[in-house]
Amino acid sequence: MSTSTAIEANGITKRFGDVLAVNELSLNIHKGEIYGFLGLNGAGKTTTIRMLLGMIKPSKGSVSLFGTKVQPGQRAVWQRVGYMVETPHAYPDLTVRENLEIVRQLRQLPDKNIVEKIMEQMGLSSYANRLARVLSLGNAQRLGLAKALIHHPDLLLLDEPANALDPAGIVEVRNLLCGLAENNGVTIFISSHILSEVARLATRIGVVHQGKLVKELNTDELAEQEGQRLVADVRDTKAALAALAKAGITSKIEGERSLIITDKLALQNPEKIATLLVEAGCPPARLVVEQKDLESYFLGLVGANAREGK
Amino acid sequence: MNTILREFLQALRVEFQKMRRSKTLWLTVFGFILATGIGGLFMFILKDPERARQLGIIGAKAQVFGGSADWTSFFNFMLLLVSVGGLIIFGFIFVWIFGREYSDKTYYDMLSLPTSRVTIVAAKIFTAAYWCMALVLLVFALMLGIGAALQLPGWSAAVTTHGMGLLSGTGALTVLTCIPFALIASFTRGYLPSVGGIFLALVLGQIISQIGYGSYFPWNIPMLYSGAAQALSGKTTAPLGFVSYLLVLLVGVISIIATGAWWRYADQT
Repeated sequence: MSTSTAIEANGITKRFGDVLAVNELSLNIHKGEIYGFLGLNGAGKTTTIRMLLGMIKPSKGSVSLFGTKVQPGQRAVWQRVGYMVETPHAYPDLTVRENLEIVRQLRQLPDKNIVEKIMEQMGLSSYANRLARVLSLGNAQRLGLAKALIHHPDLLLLDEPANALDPAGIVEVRNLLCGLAENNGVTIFISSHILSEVARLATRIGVVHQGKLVKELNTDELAEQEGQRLVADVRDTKAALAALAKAGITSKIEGERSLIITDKLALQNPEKIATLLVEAGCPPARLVVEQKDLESYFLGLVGANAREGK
Repeated sequence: MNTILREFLQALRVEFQKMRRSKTLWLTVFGFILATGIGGLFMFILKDPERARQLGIIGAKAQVFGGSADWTSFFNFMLLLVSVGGLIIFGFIFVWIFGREYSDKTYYDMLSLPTSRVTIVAAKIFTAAYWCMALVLLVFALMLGIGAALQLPGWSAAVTTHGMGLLSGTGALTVLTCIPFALIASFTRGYLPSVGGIFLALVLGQIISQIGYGSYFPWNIPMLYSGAAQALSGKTTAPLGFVSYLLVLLVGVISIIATGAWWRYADQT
């Protein structure tokens, strides 16, 4: 393993009885990366995070964090790791301050002021003496993040951290995480089922579906998936492709009848493409400018029958 | 300071803080104050038979259980409370300390920490045991106050020391038999099945006593050790043997190891 690797998962598999929750999943995440772990509900995101955190033992494969194998009894590595699994929960009868004080003690942090500092950083100071059970969902989420960040971890594992936050809270958390990665070199592993949210934050994205990692993309590849395209449905795609190529317009065949054109001029003047195709004897049955978005790309990756689990 | 000890003390501080701030603590304190108060009321009734007759059924019941109003009877009554009531209340304390982490879903925060899971389990068991024994001490202190206020006859330093010894011993044995409920609460991730386990132990204890093997059923042994039921009913039974105490010890020790192992090795989904 390289010394620059923060997370290494080698073919981790988890089976619960007959259910294969995670299947031969491998990850290699470098220090300082923000890795978006994307998947539909039930895709295996939380099970993977729990395996990374040593809460669940993989049926097969292994996990290492900063070169240290995660296994029962291995504790030193957790000093460098902060985490939030699922919806954050806290002791309902204790105040925000007391909940954080508990984490400080269990993390063996000698600086008693650290609780006040993290409350200030997370905007929780005015709720310090409020019982956790009366916190709003957003503030409960902030408390969860404060628990994950209190010890200034080198690695953050966050399971759906934007859940329950209002739009302002989402932006705030996004800025906070970006700042941690940029200024402090913190590696962030963040799971979500909302691609647009992860896309704004992550430097790399892994798409998990039915327990398998189906695709990994970096930011450039991700950017390519956004934008407009001109779709022309024709009878003879090869002839149409040749006619467009002759006119200096690059296109590609998609499916049996569609030509996809991303040329900027063509997108601005679709009527000229129509004329060209008609003159080449390949009149288009349909000609439409489509807005590509990440969500449709994501759904395309996981398949039309994803929700049915087919 | 030794690292393991420092870690344990920090985990213990955390558990004590959670205990202090819980309503369950005050409910158990109230329960034992009430029960000791009822014991005192019985003594008050027994001390004045005329009043006992005026009170009708309560007076009659007090006569059946208590016999006479003196320090020995008061101790026997409270020993019965600590052994039988203790199984329920102490059992619930163990269930609450472990089960709440699952019902509140706070156990996630305890799994990937520099403090070992086994240390956390040890701190939890110690806190539960401390809590239970503090309740036994509370009973003793209340008894002294109530008994003195009622001017119960038969007080001596020897009777008090013997009674306190029996109360502590019964409490400690009851605590050992309650540790399995911590394991059940962890295994089943909540309260209900383990509370069911407490009542199952009580029912099985009755059945097994009837067929003559009560001294081999660990959850009966604290009551048999206290001798309270025998003294109050006037029946005599053979003293407990080494095997009985060994069984209680094994139940406690095996449950501690199993709970620690479960937290350390089992999948925490």
